[in-house]
Amino acid sequence: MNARYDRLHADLTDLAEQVTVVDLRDRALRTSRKLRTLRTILGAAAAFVLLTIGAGTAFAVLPGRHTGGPSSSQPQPGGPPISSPATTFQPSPVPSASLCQATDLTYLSQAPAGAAMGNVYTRYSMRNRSSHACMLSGAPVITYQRADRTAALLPAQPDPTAPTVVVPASATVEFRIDRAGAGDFASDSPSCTHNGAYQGLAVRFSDGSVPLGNVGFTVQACEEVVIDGWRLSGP
Amino acid sequence: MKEPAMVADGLRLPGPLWPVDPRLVSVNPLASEFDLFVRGRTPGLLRAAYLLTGDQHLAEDLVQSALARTHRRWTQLHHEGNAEAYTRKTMYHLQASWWRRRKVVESMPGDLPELSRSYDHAELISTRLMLLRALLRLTPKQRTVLVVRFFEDQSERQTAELLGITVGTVKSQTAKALTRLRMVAPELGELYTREGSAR
Repeated sequence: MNARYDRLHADLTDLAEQVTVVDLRDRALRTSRKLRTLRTILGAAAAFVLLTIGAGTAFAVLPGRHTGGPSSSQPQPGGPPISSPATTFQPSPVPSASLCQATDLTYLSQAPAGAAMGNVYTRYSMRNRSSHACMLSGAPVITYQRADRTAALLPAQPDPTAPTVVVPASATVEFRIDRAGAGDFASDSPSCTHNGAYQGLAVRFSDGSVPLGNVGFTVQACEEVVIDGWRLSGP
Repeated sequence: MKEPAMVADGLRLPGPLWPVDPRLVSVNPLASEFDLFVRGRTPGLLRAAYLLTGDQHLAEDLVQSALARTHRRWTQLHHEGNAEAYTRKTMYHLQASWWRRRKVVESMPGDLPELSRSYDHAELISTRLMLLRALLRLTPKQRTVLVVRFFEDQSERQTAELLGITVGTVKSQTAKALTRLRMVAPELGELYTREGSAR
């Protein structure tokens, strides 16, 4: 650091010393436990959904259900060719994939991914409808529509650890918006999202936005809203 | 500014970036490694968070949120030795998110409490108040870059990696922050220039 800023460093250090050091162990553990509980619920819900999908796929590929007509060789809406068991899907990362654009992705659906103790989790699915793999990095940028119909960034905390995901062509990706109900935060805490209606959600990309089916939510009490990162959810 | 590695209860931990209050380092041999981590790092994290938020309670919330996220991934982070870096990165990212920035700005105290004045410390207190007021008038992004660069003593490249931005952005934000600092508090600008030229 330039020596001319030694005084600035010293003054910042002196100012920082004014903070009262408190033990945050219990508060951190309490918040962590709450988050862990919610993750467990989410995991159970996700497992249930996967089992349901797996059972549905197994039922669909039963030999007796193959009618053999011309249309049976066509891909089924929202799924892979009927002759391709889901277990054979192996997304192969493409290191050279470019970032996904709005034109690459199409919104599929939203589904509840758990709710308990005033906490609500919603999973949003999108499909890479292009013919090439593309890459999604970090947590999605979500916007909502204000009353004047203009778009604004959703007041939420993006997961700072969200990974980079390579999305093969036709693959489905999903992300989750976690709304943790009233927590250990004061109403003026940065973790408390202001009350209001956040409707008309959309995912913003560099070339435009993909609306999430005109959905949204309303915050009525101090909530912490977290946007989790993208993850592959299968074909 | 970095200190050598700290040894507590026979457990070797990565060296803290800030001085650690020895009273807060657990001496209980049964204390978990996470407890040791929290109690060892909290003072330093709180100091940085205080500079970022300008408020004791907001600083506590910020550090609490970062530590909770660290706890969720503690096993992996501790195994990899990345807990400190992860916590700091999480704290800065949380602070830097636009909504957090907006609310922090909204909740910044307009009138800072008057500190008791002492003739011996009059200049020190005056400088401290001026600096705090000036910091609060920076944009959150400028304040974050300033804290990382000049409080944590990180290089431009390290700052860019920590905040997930480019080195060019670090340079531009640093220049803007210093310019604004001099603009909103000319006394400070003169002070730093005078001090710098004297060194």
